[in-house]
Amino acid sequence: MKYSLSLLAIFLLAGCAKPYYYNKTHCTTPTIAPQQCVSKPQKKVVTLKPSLTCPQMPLSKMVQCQPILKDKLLISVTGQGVAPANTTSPAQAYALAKRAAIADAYRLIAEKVKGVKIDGQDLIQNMMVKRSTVRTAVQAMIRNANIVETNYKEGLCEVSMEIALSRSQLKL
Amino acid sequence: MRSFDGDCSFSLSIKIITLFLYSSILFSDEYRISYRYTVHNATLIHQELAISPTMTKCLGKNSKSILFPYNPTNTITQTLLNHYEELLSFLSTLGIEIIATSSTQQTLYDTMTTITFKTQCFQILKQKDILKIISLK
Repeated sequence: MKYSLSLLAIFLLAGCAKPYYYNKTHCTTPTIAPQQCVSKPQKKVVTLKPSLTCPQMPLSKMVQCQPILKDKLLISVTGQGVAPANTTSPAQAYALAKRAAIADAYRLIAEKVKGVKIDGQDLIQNMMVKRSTVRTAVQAMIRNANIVETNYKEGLCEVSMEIALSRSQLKL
Repeated sequence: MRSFDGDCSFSLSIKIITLFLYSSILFSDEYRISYRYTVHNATLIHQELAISPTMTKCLGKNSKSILFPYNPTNTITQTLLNHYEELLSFLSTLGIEIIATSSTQQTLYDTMTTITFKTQCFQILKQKDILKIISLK
């Protein structure tokens, strides 16, 4: 009788108990975009808020991949620049090409964030297109853009640049 | 002959020294820095960095700062020019203005980009072998 009662009690308790992986199943892991998971050693990584992350996930994994945070947007561009023909040394050529590439990267960021003004003009004379012109212009103020990577090969310099913007800054 | 307020030359010299010290304390460590460069068809064609001591006191509070190694034998301008790259990256964090235009006529593509760091006041502190540059906003 005693054994049967104890067995019944054990069964009842086992039925009420929650499985040990309960927390794991309910934990929301951060959504990760595939292009953002490619981690580079120079990249600045946005630290995650504890409320957004799974407590069971190891810290190293969380830092490697960037989650899509609702209020932040990461814009990355690659600018290109070439050295002028009349440079005195390879070092000067590199410095000038890099400066040109940085300017190009800034322009690309400005185009992405603020948009481009486009003005087109076609001149048709005697049923023929005589002149066709397209002008683009962008004007912006940029702050806190970071250079992520710089490559210099055969006179061409490529600068990868990133800027983190909030939705309110973009006014979307 | 003595003037009615005592030794006139002595009081005048004290006034001059006080005025000189006051002006040196207030203005000697403040500089105005501006930078502009132009890129035409992916090639840098012009760049200009201007550094000059201020003639009037700058208004504003301390903002971002950067440290440079400093050799007392060099002037501040020389030190800043020696660390050109670091200075430019610091200026870019403060905000730069970009004006870019491009035109395509028939098949010819022409682009011109001008990056400008507008003239801003900086406070420069000398501490033994370190030069601290603080932007004032």
